[in-house]
Amino acid sequence: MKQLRKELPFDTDEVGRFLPWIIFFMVFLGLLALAITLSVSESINGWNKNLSSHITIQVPPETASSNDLQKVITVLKSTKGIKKAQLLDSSTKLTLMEPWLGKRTENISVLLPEVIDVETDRNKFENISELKLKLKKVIPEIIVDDHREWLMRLISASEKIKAISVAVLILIGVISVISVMFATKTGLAVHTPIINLLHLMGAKDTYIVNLFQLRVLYLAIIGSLIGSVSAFIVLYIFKTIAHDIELSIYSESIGSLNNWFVLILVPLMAIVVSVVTTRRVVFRTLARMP
Amino acid sequence: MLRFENVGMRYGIGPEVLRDLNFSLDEGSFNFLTGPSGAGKTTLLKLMYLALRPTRGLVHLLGHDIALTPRSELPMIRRQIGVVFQEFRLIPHLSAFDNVALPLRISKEREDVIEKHVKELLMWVGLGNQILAKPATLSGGQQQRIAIARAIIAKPRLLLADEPTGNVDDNIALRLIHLFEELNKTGTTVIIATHNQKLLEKLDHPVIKLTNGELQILNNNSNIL
Ligand SMILES: Nc1ncnc2c1ncn2[C@@H]1O[C@H](COP(=O)(O)OP(=O)(O)O)[C@@H](O)[C@H]1O
Ligand SMILES: [Mg+2]
Repeated sequence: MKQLRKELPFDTDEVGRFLPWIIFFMVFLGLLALAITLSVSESINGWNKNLSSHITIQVPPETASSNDLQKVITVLKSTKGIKKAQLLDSSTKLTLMEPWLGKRTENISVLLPEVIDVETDRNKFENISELKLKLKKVIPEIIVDDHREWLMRLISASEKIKAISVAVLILIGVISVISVMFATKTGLAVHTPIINLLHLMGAKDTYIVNLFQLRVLYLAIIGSLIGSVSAFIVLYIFKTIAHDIELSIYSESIGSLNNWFVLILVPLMAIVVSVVTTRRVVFRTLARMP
Repeated sequence: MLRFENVGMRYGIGPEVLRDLNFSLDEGSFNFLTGPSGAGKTTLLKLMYLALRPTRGLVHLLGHDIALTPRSELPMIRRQIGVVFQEFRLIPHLSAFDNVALPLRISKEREDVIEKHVKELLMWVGLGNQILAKPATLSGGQQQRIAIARAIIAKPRLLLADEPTGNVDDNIALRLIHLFEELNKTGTTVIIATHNQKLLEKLDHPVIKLTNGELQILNNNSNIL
C-alpha cells in the first residue's frame, strides 16, 4: 500500500503544512460555536418550560377596598387569554409564605398583601403591560409580578446569541469548504506534471483521486484531533470558571452526554467535508483533461 | 492499428499546425517520423498518445474511433501505448525502479510480478546497479534508458518515441534504434520521431515526413534525398 501511494511528492507542497492548521481552527471554532448554540438553546428550552402560565398579582396591605379588589378581578376575567383569576384566602397565603415565615399564627395575615392568582392561556394571552395599565387605574399600588416578562427578555436575548452562533457555525462550514478547495487546487497545480503523466499512462481518475483523498484524510484527521482536544480543554475550563462565578445559566448543558455526541459531529464533518471537497475538485480537474 | 482521416490540429486560435492528415499504419510496422523543427512531429505524437484531441477529423487507434470512445475506456487504450517523451518526464522523487514500475502499478499488477519484471528490464538496459537511484543522480543517457524501460515495461502494442536520438552521438543512437527494433520483433508497432538524417539513410524503414503541417509517407529511403 505504502509503495503504491508515493507517486505524488506531497512533502514538496505547502498543503501538508497549511491544511491541518485550517482544519484545526475550523474544528476548534466550530466546536466552540456549537457548544454555545447547544447550551443556549438548551437553556431556552428549560426557560420556556418553566414559563409559568400563572401571573401573580399583589395588592399591598391596606391600599385597597374589597370593592376595588373585586373590580380588579372583574377586569382580569374580562381580559382575553385569562382563564382564571382568584383571590387567595389567608390560609393559602400562609402556606405559600411558609418557606420564609415559618408556621405562624393567624395574626400576621393582616400584614400580608392580597394575592390574586391568575391563570393564563399562554397561546392567547400576550400583552401584560396593557393589563398592568388597566389594573393600575383601579389600584395604583398594585404589583403585577411579571417574571414572565424578564424571562421572555432573557429568552429573546438568548435567541439572538443562538442565531449568531449558528451563523458563525455556517460561516465556518463555508470557509472550511473554500479553504479545502483552495488547498486542493494548490496541490493539484503543484503536481500537475505528474498527474498529467499518470493520466497519459492510463491511470483512471479514481487512481489519482485516491492519492489526494488518502492524503487529505490523513491531514484532516490530524487537524480535527488537535482542534477537538483544544476545544474540549477550553470548554472544560469555561465550564469550571462559569460554575465558580455562578454563570451557570448557560454552562450547565455543556456537560450533558447528549451534547458530547453532537459535538463529535464537528470533527467528523470536518473530515468528511475535506475528503468530499478534495474528491470533487480533483475529479473536476481531471475531467478537463483529454 | 492506426488511421488518421482528414485530421487537422490547431492550438487555440492559432494557425493549423497539422492539415488534412490521411494515412494509416499497419500493426507491427516500424516507422520513422521526420520533418524540420516546428513541423508538428510532437503534435502528431500527442494526437497518437491521446494527450490532444484533433480539432477536426477522425483518429482510429487500436480498434477504437477515439471521438466515439467513452472517457472511461480511454485509460485502457492508453495502457497499450508506451511513450518515450523527448524530455523523459521521469518522476524526480521516485527511484529508477519505481519510475519503471509505474505503468504496472497503474494497471494493478501484483507487486512480486512487478519486482521481477522491472529488475529484469533494468538489467537489460544496463541499469542493474542503479535500481534505487533517483533520476537526478544519473546521467542523461541513463535517464533516457529509464524512460525507455518505463515505456516498454507493460509490453505496449504501440511505442512512440519523441526524438530519442536528439542528444546522443550516432553510435548510441543506432544502439537505441536496435533496441526498439528488438521490441518491434515481438509485435509492437513503433514510431520514432527524429530529424537525424543519417539514421534514416542507414535504416530501411518507412518514413512519415511532415512539412508545413502536411504529411507524406515514404517507403523507400532513397526518396528522402
Ligand atoms: N502548446 C502549444 N501551444 C501553441 N502552439 C504550439 C504548442 N505546441 C506546439 N505549438 C506549435 O505547433 C507547431 C508544431 O510544434 P511541434 O509539434 O512541437 O513541432 P516539432 O515537434 O516537429 O518540432 C510549432 O509551430 C509550435 O510553435
Ligand atoms: Mg518536438
